[in-house]
Amino acid sequence: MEHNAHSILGLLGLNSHEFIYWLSIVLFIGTYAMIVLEKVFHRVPAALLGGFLAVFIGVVTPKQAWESIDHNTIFLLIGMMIIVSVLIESGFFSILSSLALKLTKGNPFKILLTFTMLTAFLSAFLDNVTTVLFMVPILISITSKLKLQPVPYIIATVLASNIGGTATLIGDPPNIIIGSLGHFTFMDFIVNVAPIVIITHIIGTIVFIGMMKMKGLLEPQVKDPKEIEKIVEEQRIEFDVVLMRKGLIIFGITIILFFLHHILHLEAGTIALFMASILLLWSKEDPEKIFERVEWTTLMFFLGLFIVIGALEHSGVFEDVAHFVAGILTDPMSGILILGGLSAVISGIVDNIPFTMAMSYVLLDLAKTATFNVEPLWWALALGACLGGNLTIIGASANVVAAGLAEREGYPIKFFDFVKQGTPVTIVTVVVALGLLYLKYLIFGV
Amino acid sequence: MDFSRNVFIQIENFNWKNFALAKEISKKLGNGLYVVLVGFEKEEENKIKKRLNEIETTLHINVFSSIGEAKTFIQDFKPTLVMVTQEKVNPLVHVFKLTEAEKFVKGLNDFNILLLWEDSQKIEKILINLDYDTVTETYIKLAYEFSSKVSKEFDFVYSFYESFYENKLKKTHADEEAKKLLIEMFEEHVQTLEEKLKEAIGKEISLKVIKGDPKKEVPYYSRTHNYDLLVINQSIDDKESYIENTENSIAILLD
Repeated sequence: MEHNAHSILGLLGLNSHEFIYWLSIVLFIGTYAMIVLEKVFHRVPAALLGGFLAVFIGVVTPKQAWESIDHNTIFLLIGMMIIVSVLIESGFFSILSSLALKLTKGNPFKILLTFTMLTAFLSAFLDNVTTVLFMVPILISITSKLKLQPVPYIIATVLASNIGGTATLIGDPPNIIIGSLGHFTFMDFIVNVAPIVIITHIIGTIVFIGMMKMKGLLEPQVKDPKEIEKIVEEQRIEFDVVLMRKGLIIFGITIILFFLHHILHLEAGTIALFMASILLLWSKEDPEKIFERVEWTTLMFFLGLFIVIGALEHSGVFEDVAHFVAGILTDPMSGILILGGLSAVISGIVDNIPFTMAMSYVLLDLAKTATFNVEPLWWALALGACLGGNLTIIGASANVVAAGLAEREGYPIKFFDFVKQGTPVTIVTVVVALGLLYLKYLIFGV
Repeated sequence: MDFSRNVFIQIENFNWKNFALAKEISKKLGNGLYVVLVGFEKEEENKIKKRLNEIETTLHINVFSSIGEAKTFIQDFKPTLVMVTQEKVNPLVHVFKLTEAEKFVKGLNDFNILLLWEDSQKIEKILINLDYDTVTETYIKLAYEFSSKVSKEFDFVYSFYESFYENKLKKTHADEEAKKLLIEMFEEHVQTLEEKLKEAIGKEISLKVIKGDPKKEVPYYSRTHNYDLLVINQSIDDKESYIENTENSIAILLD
């Protein structure tokens, strides 16, 4: 099979399927290496270069590149960033952070616990990106005021977001795909995944609290209660109640519509962008001022990354990986560990959406021929794909968004800083989650 | 300006500290205080009436069962100043709930209104806002007269919405030119307002100039610089925002 004869590769006679297959892998590894080498390259031009080099030389056609971009994710990000920007403009986050400071009395341990628990809970029902967009600005504001290092707290919150999102059908995009293709309901996830995620989250929390405690990151830097009181007072800046009201009404309706998006046959991205447009009109805020707060660099990063991963998908790499996995899935019990573990590793390296999609089709095929019940494998895929997102900074959309927000505020998150905190948590949570799933089927039968 | 028919309205709760302040303000403005009670239980109403009569026997007291009735009374009575207690509400709660005072003054655009911050007992420092687009000589004169009668210490303030004008200018001009025009615009705004002040009051008065979105910046400035009262004009844009963003007493005067 030959690809794109009119491309540069075509003109050079290098457009054989095999060459493009390997070139897409080389491009992916090259882009990934540039992202990892953040001291030399900024991750945004690195991802854009990888993506558009793939189009330029003809690994993918412009049409294929365009189709590789997950418009739902991009629209969701833009829409929610606009809504959150309006809320920032209204002073909502400064009021919320002053409230959180008051409740936790500036105690770092309480701050960490409150934020991770709340984030995990919200992420189970909201998109992880939305939760992170909401929580990270508050966290940065609080930790910086208390002279704490914001980055470990941000990473802990993002990890909690990815764990919490695993619990429900609507919590994380891979679960939506699995629910849709595997015909599972909201309640199926509540029964089969949520209890495992709750235990996993508790253990994950103990791990990252332990890690932060060992590094002395939970030691209060501001100890005088009077000083904390002063910080709480200073936290409250200008606010606009009317704008806050409009922002929160639109945010609330958006969340309700997210819950109903299956019934409405609308993607979350469409809902978010539609509601953001209404808010911009209603609030009469200057769109340019609001757009200044939108994380364009994060969006550009996604754009490049989607094309690079799309190249892998179009050249058939995903298909081969999926078939390789299918080949070793000979029984459901070992399958839980193999598929779950592999999904976690792959999801930590590439975006988990196309991988989950590819694996879902493999499981659908497997169900037709297999002599065993494949249902445990679906849950293993869900747990692995969602929890694996915590492995690296590019493992999940929420990680990238949090990194963008933190960088904007002057607290860049390095690739290896994330890995140092994310990898141990990922290993523990994946092992615990898959272990519990294994145990469940061992006790109750497949 | 005549301030002889001042009404003190209390809805469902009677704030005695605010009453004392309203009485003092009314006295400074030229007496004539009328009390309006809205939505009180009969027993509570009698207790309040009794205590009010003990304080001042000549006080006029009117009782209404609903906000609507009280509003009709205001429209007919045409008071010179309407004083209402503004509840202290956390901004997050405020998002979901308008205060009784805000509900009451909604639509009362033809009156001078004074929302007394709950439990406040003094007005010693006043901040008078000047809005570039809607400020009038009538308003400046009224605000000056009102403030000078109520307190010895008052300031005029103007907030220049720099980022808004900057974005606007950048759409039609190159960056450097826009910056130059912005400085000119700022100077022109300040100069115009200073001239208007001089014309209305008849003497030089200094103007405090701050920068930022006025509906957020002016209430914030008033709060953080320990002003007891913020004065705005009735036809100002985003009047509701000024009222809801202010965390001290606020007067809305006719223009």
